[in-house]
Amino acid sequence: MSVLWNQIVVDHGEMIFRAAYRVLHDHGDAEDVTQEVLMEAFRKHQSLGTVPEPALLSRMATLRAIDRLRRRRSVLSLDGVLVPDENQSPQLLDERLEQMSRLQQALANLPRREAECFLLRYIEGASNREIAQMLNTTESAISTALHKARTKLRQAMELHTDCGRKP
Amino acid sequence: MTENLPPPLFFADELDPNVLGPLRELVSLSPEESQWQASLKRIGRQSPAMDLVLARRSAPRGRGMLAAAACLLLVLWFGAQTKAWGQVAQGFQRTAVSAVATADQIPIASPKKVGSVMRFVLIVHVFSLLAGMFGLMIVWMRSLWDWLMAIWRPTKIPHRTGKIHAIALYLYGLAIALGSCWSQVTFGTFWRWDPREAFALLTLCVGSVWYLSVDTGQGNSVILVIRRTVIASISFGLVMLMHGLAIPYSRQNPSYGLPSVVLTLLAANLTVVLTSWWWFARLQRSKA
Repeated sequence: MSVLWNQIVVDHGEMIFRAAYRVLHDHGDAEDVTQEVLMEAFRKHQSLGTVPEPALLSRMATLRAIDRLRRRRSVLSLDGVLVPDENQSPQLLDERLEQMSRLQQALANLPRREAECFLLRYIEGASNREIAQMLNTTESAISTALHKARTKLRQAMELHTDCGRKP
Repeated sequence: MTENLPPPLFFADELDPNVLGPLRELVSLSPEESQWQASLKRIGRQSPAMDLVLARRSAPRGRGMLAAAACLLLVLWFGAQTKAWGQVAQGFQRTAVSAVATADQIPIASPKKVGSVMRFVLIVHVFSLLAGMFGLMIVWMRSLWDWLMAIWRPTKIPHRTGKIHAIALYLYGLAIALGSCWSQVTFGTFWRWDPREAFALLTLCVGSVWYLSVDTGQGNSVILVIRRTVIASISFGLVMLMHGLAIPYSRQNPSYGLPSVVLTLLAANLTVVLTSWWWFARLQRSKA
C-alpha cells in the first residue's frame, strides 16, 4: 500500500500542489490541500481500482483550495512573490501587488458556487457543461453564476481603480 | 519535472481587462521548488503504512459495527471463560458491603518464580502499557490544544496526532499480549490472574474499533478538529474509565490506585466529549 501511496504522490503530487498554490499562494495551505486530494485519489484507487485523471485531480485541488481561501479570515500578504523587472519602478510594482491582493480578496469574498465556477472555467479550462456535471447542476445555472462572478470581480477591481485615481 | 511555465488562462476574452491582468499574474505565481518538494516528502512520509489505521479513511459503517460486535463478543467470552466478570462482581460487592477486602476472597493461583526473560517481559509489559497510556494522554491533550487553536486561528490548525494515536494503541495491545504471556508462565493461565487485563482488552478493542470506524479526516476544518477531539477523548477516557472501574481492586493492588486522579481525568474527559458534541451539533446546524 505504501508503494502505491508513494507512486500516487510522485505521479500527481507536484501537479496538485501547483494547482492548489495557484489559488492559495501559501505553502502550508497548499500542502494541506495536496494531502487531501492525494488521499482522495488513494481512496478512489482502492474502491475503483484506478486513480482519477490528472485533469480531475487538478479540478478537485482547485475546488478544495477555493474552500480554504474562503475560510481564511484575511488574505495573505503577497509581498516578495513578484520579482521586479529592471525597468520597473517600485511604485508600479506596488500597484501590481495591490491589484493582485485586491483580486484575491474579491475571489475569497465571492459566494462559494460563483468562485468555484469562475476558477474551474478560467483556470482549469472546464466548459460550462463539465462544470455543471461536476457541481451537479444545470448549464444555465453555471452561466448565471459565471456572469455574477465576472460582474462582482469587475466591480471590485473598478472600485479599486476609481478609489486610487487622483481627483 | 514539470517546466516552470506560467499556466494558461482559458476563455480570457470573456474577462474584463481590469480582472484579466491581475488574474494572469496571480495564476503565474509558482511555488518554490524546495518548498513543494519538502511538502511532498512530508506527505509521502505520512503514507498509509498500516493503511487502514493511518490512511484514516472512513470505513463503511457496517464494517465498524460488525468489528465492534465481534470485539464485544470476544471480550464477553473471555470474561465468561476466565470468570473475570464474576470477580468484577465480587469486587464491587466487597466494596459495597465492606471497605475492608482481602485478596484471599479472589481465587488466584500462587505466583511462581520466573526467570530473567519473563522478568524482562514483565518490565516491557509495564513500560509499554504506561507508554500507551501516555501516548493516548498526549493525543488527548494535543487534540484539546488543536481545539483551542481552532477557536483562536481557524486557518492554521495542525493535524498530526493520528500516528501517535495509532502507536499508542499498538503499545497498549503489545502490553496486553506481553502481560498475558507473563501471567501464563507465572500463574499458569493467560487471563484468570487479573480481571483488569480484561478491562484493558476491552479498552483496546473499543478504542480501536472507534478509531478505525470513524473518519478523523485529513483536513483542517473545525468540524474535523472537534471530531478528532471527541475520538481522542473517548480513547483516553476509556482507559480512565476502565481503571476507574478497577478502583475496587486498588485496595489490594495499589498500582491501580490514585482514584482521585483517575476520577478527575474521567470527569475532564466527559466534559470535553459532551462539550465537543454540543459544539459539533451547533456547527452542523449552522452549516445546514
